[in-house]
Amino acid sequence: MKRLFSALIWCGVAALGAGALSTIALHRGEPLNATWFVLAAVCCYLVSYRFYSAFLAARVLALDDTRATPAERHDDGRDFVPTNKWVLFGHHFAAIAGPGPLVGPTLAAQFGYLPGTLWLIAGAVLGGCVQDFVILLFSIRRDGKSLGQMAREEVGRRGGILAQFAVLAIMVILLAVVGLVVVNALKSSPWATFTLAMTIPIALLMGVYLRYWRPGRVLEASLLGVALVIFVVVAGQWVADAPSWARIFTLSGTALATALIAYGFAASALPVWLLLAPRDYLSAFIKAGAILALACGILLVRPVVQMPALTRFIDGSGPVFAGKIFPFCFITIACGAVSGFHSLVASGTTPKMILREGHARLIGYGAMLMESFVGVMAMVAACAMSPGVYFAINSPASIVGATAESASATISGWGFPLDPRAMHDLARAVGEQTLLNRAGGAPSLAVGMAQIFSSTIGGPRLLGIWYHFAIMFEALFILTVLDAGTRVGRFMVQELGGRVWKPLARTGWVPGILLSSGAIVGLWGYFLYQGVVDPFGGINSLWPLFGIANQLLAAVALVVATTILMKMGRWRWLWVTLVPMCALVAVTMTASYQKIFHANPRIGLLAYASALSSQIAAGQIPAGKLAETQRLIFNQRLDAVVSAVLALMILALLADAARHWYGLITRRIQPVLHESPYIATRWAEGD
Amino acid sequence: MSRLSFRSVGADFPSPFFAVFFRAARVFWRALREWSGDAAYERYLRAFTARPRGTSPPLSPAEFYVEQLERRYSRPTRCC
Repeated sequence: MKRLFSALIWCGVAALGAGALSTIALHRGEPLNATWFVLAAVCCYLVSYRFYSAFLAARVLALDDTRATPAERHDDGRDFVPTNKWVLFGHHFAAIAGPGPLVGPTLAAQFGYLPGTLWLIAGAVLGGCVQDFVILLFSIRRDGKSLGQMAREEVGRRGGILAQFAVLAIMVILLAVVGLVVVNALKSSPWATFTLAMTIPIALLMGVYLRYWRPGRVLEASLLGVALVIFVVVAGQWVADAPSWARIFTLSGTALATALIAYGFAASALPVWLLLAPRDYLSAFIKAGAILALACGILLVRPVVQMPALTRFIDGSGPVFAGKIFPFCFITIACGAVSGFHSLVASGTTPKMILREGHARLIGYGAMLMESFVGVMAMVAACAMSPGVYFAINSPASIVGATAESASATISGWGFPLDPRAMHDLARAVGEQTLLNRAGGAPSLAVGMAQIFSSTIGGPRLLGIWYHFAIMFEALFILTVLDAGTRVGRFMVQELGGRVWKPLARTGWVPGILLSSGAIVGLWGYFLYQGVVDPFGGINSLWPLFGIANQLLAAVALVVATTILMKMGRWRWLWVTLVPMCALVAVTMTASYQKIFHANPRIGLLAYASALSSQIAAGQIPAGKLAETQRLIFNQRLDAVVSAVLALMILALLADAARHWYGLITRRIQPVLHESPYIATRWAEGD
Repeated sequence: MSRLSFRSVGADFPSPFFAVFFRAARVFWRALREWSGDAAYERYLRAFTARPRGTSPPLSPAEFYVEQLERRYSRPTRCC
């Protein structure tokens, strides 16, 4: 009877999910309520968690709760800490959910709501969650080893080195692109710039509090920090209204980029307790609060999605970024669907804290489902605003023009009516001078969030406060990624550089710290600067590079996972990692090829460089802009080389893995697993 | 071992409503302290007492706090 009841409930959930999915897929013309998106996503997640993750846990991975985890065997209260599964779920989710699932779907909304939403749901349940889950479990069985170490041991030495370089490459491009998102959000906005600048002294105050006054009292310090941050969001309006103060905090894109580069260097070189850690605590609390508020807002307001299911830009002529749905939708939405970066967290801190193998299902698979849901909410927030406003905010000036009137004429011509006065009014209502040409996703998401929040609390009067709260929340945790990533990048440079010149590897040596911090900041800073001065808005060239690098890392993780499954003798179930791996390789290879060789200058980097060269040769570039154009040509060629290197890395890894797999299939290579030996748990059931 | 018990907390309240409410609040508070790292030093001391390593005394709260941060932020802890 109980079985029948359960079967009926799950049939109901599946039918509801299928109904909601078909509604959002087949609906045309009339505006659609966001509740359908929430229903479709939640039902798909429930069914996939209940059935697919259970299948992975039981058949493919054979999770064993009698096997002692690294946290039990090495329990030291420092690295190896047995942690309650819900607490660890919160830890893991806070670690994997960054700005990516918010920005990617917002950018991909230019294709319409449908392609991005379907990819967010399908990509997560069949790809992203599987990757996170299997890598977490394999790391647990290897004493919490990192992805690079597992690649070296299970696939081969070359695989390990490739994984290490892939991590460094993704780190550099990630930091540049998230920096660009912040720059485009803060450009010419004294309110937002003041608010974000003030989070630095707040973090310093928290750092001193936590280090000297009340060591380790994170909750007290965070409460103080969050209260001060809310105060500076409100105070930002007073600063913006006072002309003498507003002048100080009105910065150009290049000035903001320089400030970010200096900040990244300082955060990497200063003691971690002073700036980096307290900012991370602050960001974790505000992130959790803002995501929860967005979910509640969407459920309470149930906004109407105004973006059509598919726009005319599926032909590849999109103003936000150029390129067709395949491969560019799959590259633009990486985090939220499949993100290779997660494999670093899943083979880092989390496996050392897990109590039982069985918890890996909730933490590996379940936390990624949550991240995918954040992506769906971002998609809803972006599509709930008028499409004309969305394109006005996200299109670069070189396409729609720099004034509201020209933008309105171009965007209305695309079939998305836009009144120039409405753009002026909206900018004034959110306390900005202009909202035009702010490619990057953050401002349009903030407008979407502010409209949802102000429909719940405060009405139009509080639109400005909500907008700047949303900008502060995005910028704050982007800066957390920026400073934490720069520091990790510094360690990688020290480790790799230490092989060539030994003193560099000494972690406490100050010249080494400064040199390696300078090197990593210089690398991402260069890409950030070229993005800021790019006439196509920078996002057009940098975000696809980031997507390619991120999916490359996911392919590395899935190659490692497939190899381990082969060695475990799970030949029948190889498709669980092999199919997403093949899909990602197809996506990254096509995207890399198109980014390098496509004939359209907005897509192909070499075509753009050639077009600019022809303009110089034809004397169409004024003498004053000659040096700038030549630098632009060099940057396009540099980006093409980076894309080519990333694609070659995938091919080299695949070749190495294919040789290894052939050996395993023909039994010329013995399937030796490098797992830690089985030790039975000493904790009773239910501990 | 750090565990959240959902059974023992708040069992001594006379009214069932308050018992459930306080139990939930205390479990939430403990989970929040664990999640945020507020309880990290207590957890370290428990692990140290259970398995002392060598003759050196445990680290002070400030020493432990700095040492733990140095280790945590030398590897990827925050994703995109």
